[in-house]
Amino acid sequence: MVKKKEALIDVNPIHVVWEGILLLPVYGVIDSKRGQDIMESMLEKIVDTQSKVIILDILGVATVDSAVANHLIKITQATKLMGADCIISGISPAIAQTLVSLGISLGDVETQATLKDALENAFKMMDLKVIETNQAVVG
Amino acid sequence: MHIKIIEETDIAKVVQDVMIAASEIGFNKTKQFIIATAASELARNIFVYARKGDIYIKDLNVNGRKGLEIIAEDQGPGIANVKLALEDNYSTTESLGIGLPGTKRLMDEFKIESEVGKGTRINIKKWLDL
Ligand SMILES: Nc1ncnc2c1ncn2[C@@H]1O[C@H](COP(=O)(O)OP(=O)(O)O)[C@@H](O)[C@H]1O
Ligand SMILES: [Mg+2]
Repeated sequence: MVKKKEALIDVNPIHVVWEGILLLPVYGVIDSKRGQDIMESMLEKIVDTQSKVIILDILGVATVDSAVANHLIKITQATKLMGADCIISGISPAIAQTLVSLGISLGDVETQATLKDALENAFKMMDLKVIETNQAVVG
Repeated sequence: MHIKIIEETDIAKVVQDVMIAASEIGFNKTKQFIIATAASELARNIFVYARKGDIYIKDLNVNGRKGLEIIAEDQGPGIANVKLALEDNYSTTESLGIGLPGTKRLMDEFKIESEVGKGTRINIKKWLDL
């Protein structure tokens, strides 16, 4: 019974939001097992889908303490090694302030406040442009 | 409130209970997050370095001044050099080494007592009016 419940919570859905762009919403508690699971499933998905940009949305995480931040940094490093770029989005004001006070530098990790900004950035990285159809007609 | 730290999932329990306690006192979302993160660091240190221990969450009300106090206590190996442990990036494992100094920065008050072979007791406070 307990096992079953854990298995359900442990699901880390990864969405292909566009050709070559993956979205991984991270929520709840990230312990060492979960961090490892997320890393593994994401790396597999990168290979499977040949994705180039990964968006890690952390808006729903319970806390970003130094151990969780360390997991996130490692995940972004691993994606780089696979030849993909990683954007962390969902940095709420609370998360931003906590990270600064804690003294965590996300260094050269690409970060974005909202998922919308991250997606826009991802399109740019893929040399894609979203245009309004009626504008396209005029242009 | 008292939470025993025995397994890793107990850290999540601490985070959740501290969030609730902080919100009931009237701390805003950012402050709730900050206090919960500090508590998470201390709970995790207990789990990693002492294997087991206790977290106490207490409401503070001193002359009408409200706040939240968290005590992390263990009978683990203790810290040989507390001064060093409070420095940024000092870690005896391969983690970031900012748990203790970071917690000190996140909170208004921070007190640590540790004795090798006896254990560690850390006391942190956040005041609502600060
Ligand atoms: N409860 C504890 N019992 C024993 N040693 C501890 C405890 N908490 C912290 N330490 C020691 O202090 C060091 C610094 O802790 P911290 O700042 O949280 O960084 P980190 O956990 O990343 O190493 C740890 O590496 C460990 O050696
Ligand atoms: Mg620590």
